Amino acid sequence: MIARPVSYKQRAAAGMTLPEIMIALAILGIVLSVCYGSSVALQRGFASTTSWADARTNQLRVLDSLAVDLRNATAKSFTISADGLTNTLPLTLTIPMRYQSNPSPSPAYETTGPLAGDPARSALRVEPGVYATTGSMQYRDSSGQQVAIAVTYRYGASGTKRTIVRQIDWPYTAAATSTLALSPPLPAADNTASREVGSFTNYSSASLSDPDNILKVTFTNEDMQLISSSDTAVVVRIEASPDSLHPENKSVLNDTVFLREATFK
Amino acid sequence: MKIRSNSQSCTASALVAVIITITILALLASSLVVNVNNRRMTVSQASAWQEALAAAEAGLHQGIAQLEQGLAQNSLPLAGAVPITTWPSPSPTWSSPSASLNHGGEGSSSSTYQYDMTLNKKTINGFDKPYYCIVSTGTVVLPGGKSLSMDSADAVLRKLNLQPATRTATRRIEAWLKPVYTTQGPLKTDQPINLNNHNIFVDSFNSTDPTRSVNGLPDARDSNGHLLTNIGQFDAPNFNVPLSANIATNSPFANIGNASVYGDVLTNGGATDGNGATVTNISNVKGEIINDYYEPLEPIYAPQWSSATVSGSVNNSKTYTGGTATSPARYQVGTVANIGNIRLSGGKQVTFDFGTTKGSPDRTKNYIELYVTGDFTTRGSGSTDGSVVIVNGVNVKIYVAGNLNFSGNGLVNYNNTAKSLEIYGISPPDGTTQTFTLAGNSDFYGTVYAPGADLKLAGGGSSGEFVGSFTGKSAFLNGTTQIRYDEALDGTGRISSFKIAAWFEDVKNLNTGTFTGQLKF
Repeated sequence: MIARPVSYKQRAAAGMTLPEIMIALAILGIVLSVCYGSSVALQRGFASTTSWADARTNQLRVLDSLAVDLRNATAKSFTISADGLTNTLPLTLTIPMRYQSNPSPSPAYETTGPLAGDPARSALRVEPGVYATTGSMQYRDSSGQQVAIAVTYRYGASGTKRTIVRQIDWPYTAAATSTLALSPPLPAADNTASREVGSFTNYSSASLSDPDNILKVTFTNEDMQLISSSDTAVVVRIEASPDSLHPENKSVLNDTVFLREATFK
Repeated sequence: MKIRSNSQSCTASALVAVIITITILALLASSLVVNVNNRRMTVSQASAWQEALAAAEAGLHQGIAQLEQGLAQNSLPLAGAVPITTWPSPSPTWSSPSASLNHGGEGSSSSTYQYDMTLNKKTINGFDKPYYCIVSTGTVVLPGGKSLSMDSADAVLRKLNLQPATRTATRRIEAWLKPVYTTQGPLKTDQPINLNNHNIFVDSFNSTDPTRSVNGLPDARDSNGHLLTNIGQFDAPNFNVPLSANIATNSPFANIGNASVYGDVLTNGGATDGNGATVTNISNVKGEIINDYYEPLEPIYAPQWSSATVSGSVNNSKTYTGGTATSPARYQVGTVANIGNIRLSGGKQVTFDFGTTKGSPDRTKNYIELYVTGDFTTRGSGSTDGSVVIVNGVNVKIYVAGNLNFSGNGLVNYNNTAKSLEIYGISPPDGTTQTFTLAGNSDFYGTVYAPGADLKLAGGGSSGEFVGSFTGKSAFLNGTTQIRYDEALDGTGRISSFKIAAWFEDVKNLNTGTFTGQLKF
């Protein structure tokens, strides 16, 4: 048998040589590793962006919710943090009860669902009167008692997430001649409703009850001191740890809230 | 037989790989864009929501400005023959037109506010007081796209309106304003307060409350009228009553001189610590030092009376007699063109007495108003009664355009009530100094509101009490001065400003009604 010379076409159809395959695999490996690295980096970056954006959105919502209630409050009761330097949650606010049930005895505030704690859809307003002894405004129920709701912000947990819960309890009453200021432990009220206003993923190995590595809410006065009864403004600071690789990196949001109703009263 | 080319197969595989890669990248990118857009929407909608509150506050401030303008023009909004209504009868309400506040921004270049103002009259301690309610709504058009934040909690909190025609953030606040009278508080000034003696004290009592006064007086006295005690009885901590003898200045400066103040010291930005302290010598302040006080002091303008008895300057003894409550007797010393003074010396005396009917004193004619276009000074020893005498039962208002100096034997008000004498200092032109001095040995019962005058109170000896309320441009107290604020003065005098008594944000869905602005009790 006489061997015939192999044409170019025949060689191409016959496949690649071993060195060619090795070189191709090496190049492919490099390309894939680069792709993988990029993909992982992209994923991490994307996850980080998402978690930071998510945390900031939640922080902003918690801050706004706190601000609305702090402005409306006639009295406030903070917890002092473990280091004794700041105030923190749980926070209980006394707010005039400005909505009443309609029709009675339906609740004046939503008790369940995403709107829990908001005025009920059909609720009526409560109009104030003047307490002649002091000339200040008062809000009373049909029996002539002062009436208020308690709004409590506290830490909560949901699965692996740390949450901020807004709970309202109502009604609380007091004689017209008394000062109505609520502080924990609150006596049981006829109604209660709560909802999560913020939810923060735990990216650390910390316990959900550990405030330093997930989410921390602190309050001070404008001089960064503990809040006293005469303070007219509260500095709210919300510190979250949204970075899954570096929980020590904090997303911090703060705002100064003027205690309008408490100051004016 | 046609053999399929391998190179064509490789080309197809590359295309598929490229398409898959592009698809994956596009999905990643779109997810990122959605995430970023969601974040952007949340931030922009939250910003609009915050701005709506600022707009609502602007409406509230506009309403307050309207009230202050009404005060300056002596014509409060909705005032007049307004009856006192009872719940649920409607009180009069005025609605403002919608006003815009312009700003830059994507898709939202302005915010708007609109407010409703309601007047309620409330009778307290026999006085009709105007309470105003302002319900103000701020609205901002939402910038950006139509989508909401992906988290429903944002929608629950902010209750944005996403109807295509009116994509807005709207917030509504309700504020109640109560009148502040010229007689609220023992001592108020625009400029610094200087209590220059540790023997000074400032306290309060209530002449209409038998548990907070001794026969209507601030302290117990013996049968000769001499003090049995020299300390404020009703604000002493042992009696456990609220401290209301607050002294206040719109300035950051107040030297308390270690005087005893049975109330708070309020300043505008005053500091108490370190070398930069502006509120000093506060060791005997029983209340708190508060540094965020500001209260505008409305100027006093010269009376514009349609009729009055006009005389020239008074240098000799003279008696002014009264008219009725609805038609008080009005006297004017001098004119704007030809200024007149009351200057008493030696044993000269000015007396404010009842009017007469058929030659006999008529106790229904017990209201006198006196306008002195120049100075009113009593430097002499006066009679044994004093240089200025107010007969028991007579009510006097004195307007002084120049300086006032009650010293020597001073003023004796036989009513022994502060509300029976109101002294007003007509605000001088800018750059003109005005001084009001109250000194001497007699007790002073009355109120002084002179926002353009430097106020000097100087007690002497064991007496020299100042019972009432005092307001000046600045204040200097020395000697053994005692200011005894009568809490029953609240509601007397003139309205100097309106103060927010309640503030509330209505978080209920705005399409289902709002607060009515009516007082319920």
